[in-house]
Amino acid sequence: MRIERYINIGFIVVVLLYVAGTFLTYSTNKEIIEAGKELSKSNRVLYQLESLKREIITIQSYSRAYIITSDTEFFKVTSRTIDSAYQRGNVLRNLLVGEQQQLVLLDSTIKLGQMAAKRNVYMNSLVKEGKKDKAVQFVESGEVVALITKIEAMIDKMKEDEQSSMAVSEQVLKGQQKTIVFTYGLRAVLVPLILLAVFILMRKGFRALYKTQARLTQTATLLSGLIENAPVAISVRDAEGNIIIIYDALLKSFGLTTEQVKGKNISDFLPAAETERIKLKDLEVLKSNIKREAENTLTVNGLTQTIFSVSFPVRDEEGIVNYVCNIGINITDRKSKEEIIRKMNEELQQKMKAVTDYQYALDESAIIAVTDQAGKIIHVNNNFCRISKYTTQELIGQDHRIVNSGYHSKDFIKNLWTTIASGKVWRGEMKNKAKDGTYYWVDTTIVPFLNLVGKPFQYVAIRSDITKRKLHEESILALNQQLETTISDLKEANKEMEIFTYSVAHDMRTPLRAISAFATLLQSEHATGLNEEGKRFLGILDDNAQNMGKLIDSLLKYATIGQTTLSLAQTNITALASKVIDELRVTDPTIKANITIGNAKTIQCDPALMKLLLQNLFSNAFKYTSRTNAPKILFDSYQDNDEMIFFVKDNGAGFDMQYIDKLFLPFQRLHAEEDFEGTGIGLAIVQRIIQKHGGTVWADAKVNQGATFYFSLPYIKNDSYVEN
Amino acid sequence: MSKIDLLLLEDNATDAELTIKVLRSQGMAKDIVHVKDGAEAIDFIFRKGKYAERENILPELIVLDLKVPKIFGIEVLEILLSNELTKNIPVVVLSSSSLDSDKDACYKLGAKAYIVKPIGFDAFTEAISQLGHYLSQGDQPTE
Repeated sequence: MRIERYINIGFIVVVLLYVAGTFLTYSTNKEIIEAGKELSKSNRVLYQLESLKREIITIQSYSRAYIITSDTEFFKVTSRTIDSAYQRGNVLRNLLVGEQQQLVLLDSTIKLGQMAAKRNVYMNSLVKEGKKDKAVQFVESGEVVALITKIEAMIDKMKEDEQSSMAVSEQVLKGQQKTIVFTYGLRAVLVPLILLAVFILMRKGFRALYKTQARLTQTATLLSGLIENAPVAISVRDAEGNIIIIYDALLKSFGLTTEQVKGKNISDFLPAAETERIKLKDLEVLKSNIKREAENTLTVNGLTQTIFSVSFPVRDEEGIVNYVCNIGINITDRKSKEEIIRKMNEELQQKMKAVTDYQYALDESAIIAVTDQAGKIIHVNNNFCRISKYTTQELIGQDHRIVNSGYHSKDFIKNLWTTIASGKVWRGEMKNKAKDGTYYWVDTTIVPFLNLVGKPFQYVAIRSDITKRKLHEESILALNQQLETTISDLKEANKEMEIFTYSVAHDMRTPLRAISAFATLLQSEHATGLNEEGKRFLGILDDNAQNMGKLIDSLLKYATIGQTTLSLAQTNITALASKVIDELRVTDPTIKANITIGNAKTIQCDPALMKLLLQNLFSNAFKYTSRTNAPKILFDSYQDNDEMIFFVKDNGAGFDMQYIDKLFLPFQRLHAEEDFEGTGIGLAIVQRIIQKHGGTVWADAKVNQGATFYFSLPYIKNDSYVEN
Repeated sequence: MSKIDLLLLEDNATDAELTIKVLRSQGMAKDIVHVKDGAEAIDFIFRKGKYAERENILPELIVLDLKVPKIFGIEVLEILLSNELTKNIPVVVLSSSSLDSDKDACYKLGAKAYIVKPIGFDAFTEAISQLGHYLSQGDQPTE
């Protein structure tokens, strides 16, 4: 139970005791007064009764004296005493009002007195008559003595009654005295005791109170110190935004002073929008009676700060929620730091994601194994298991000897270890053996992971399955070997062909020359020994030998074109054509054709071969127009998509298109040699040259209506038309 | 023999005969030495073997056929043109080969001319007469 309650109870008890004591004292006093009155009345009654008794004695004595002396003075005393007795009787009557028994006794006594008084008067009359003896006799008679005794008895009775009632009163008084003593004792002992207890309690209470107060003061000092020095904004405001209390460490960061804010309305120093927002927020807090947290960026006096604030309802003195307390912390710096951290985190996450993606991509695509420094496998991915056909459990703790195929030399393995142990990346292709004994090839990259001192602590091996490629390579190798054999065969064939060609070129010409020369010498130096026919035969011999020579030359040309590599150059075909025609005209002055050459064209080609081509085409054109009247030859070109088409058109003998297939074959002739001499190699050479350039050659002709030979060359952008 | 106009390396007898006939008939060279293979040509020029005792004179012009026994004409050409003693003697190749590859090789080694032997006698005579450019004026025929 709390001390306060003890004090309360103590006070109530004291008050109750006091009231009870007072009441008791009051009633006791009243009774005592009553009893006192009774006692004093009884005393007076007793006194009167005593006096009465003395007066009776006085009356008796003086009556006797009167009788004896007959002095009237004595009698007078008796009369006066009787009167006094009567008066006394009245006094007693007044005193005994309400005491019926005493009053009855009193009345009886008075009656008896009256009778006695009459006797006195009679006695007096006897005395006066001088009958002294008779008077003595009368007084001493029984009747009178009985009467007086009766009166005295009555008085005694009354005295007795009064005394007994006095005893009762005294008893009462005695009892009341006890009560008073008790009451006083009660008040004198219990009340101070309780008051003492209450005092102690109160003292204790006050002490506690002082302590609490001191503590409160200390706390208040601490609190106010905290509030005043806290780097936060603390404000209490009402629903209208009036500032009630303000401790704002953040004012400075908005360029405000306490004076500008104290006792003002927030609208006095905050922008309107902010004021509205804050008021709404405050209203919410007031209505809901719930704490709110908020983070706001506000600009005051051109200074922008981010504030984290807690608003909570505050009760006024009457306990009504009327105010909002707002505690704000400036988190601008923190925010910007947070932003930096957030960005860094984002970047980190992106990088992490990239790393994870890479890891995933690597894990998905590559065969990964991680080994410790000693080469013991500590991690393999699924691809490793798939290709090696071992389970992860079988691989972990093993070294790579588990998949060793024995294919590679000791030096190869040693080089691998030397490389990675020195912290360098090793790359190579390895043949490994799977659990089922099959072999697989992997392109291997082993990356050592170095510790802080640069020593490898683990190795990550990234492999890709190149078994298929290796198989391909093997088959390619086989094919290559085959190809090499074929090539060497070809080379040999070529060499043979070369020897053959050389022989043709060299050795076959020599006998021909001998035939031709000696036929000529025979004709010139021994003409006299020969008749005309002999001379003609020698001429035929010479001609044929020379034709054979031309045939060999053409054939050699045809054969060598195939082996020549093109040496390309931008060539003005039109100019080249003019040159070829001029040369041909020099060799054969009989050429009479009318030659037209189109606009100049420059194109990428081998000029030497192109010249040979043009020589063949033009000499053909000259040849086949040699029997035509007004022979005409046109050389021109046009562009067709990415090709340049050149053509040589003549109005000569032409040919039958049904033999077109044979036209470009070597040694094929469409005309009798008698009509048009030739070797039958020219167009074959033309075709070979054009094919070599990646073009095509074709012809269009009609018998006796001329022929047109076309050839196309790939047209490259650099090629250009050059106007004549 | 106090001078040699021309050394002819030619293994074919008819060609040799025709060549010498043309040279003489044209009056281009009188003192002609004819050797039939490459080894003999080298022996003659550097006076070795059977030519060790010959007079110490060098020909004014050397005419080589390419396809000759023992040492090919092109090898002879290489030896001559890489030797201090002979590198200034003009060498003309007279060959039946009309192959560009042969022609290019000879010019590259330093041959003064490459003449393809034609088949017709008149053309042959004309071709041989080109050798006159490399023979001394005194021996030129007066036409």
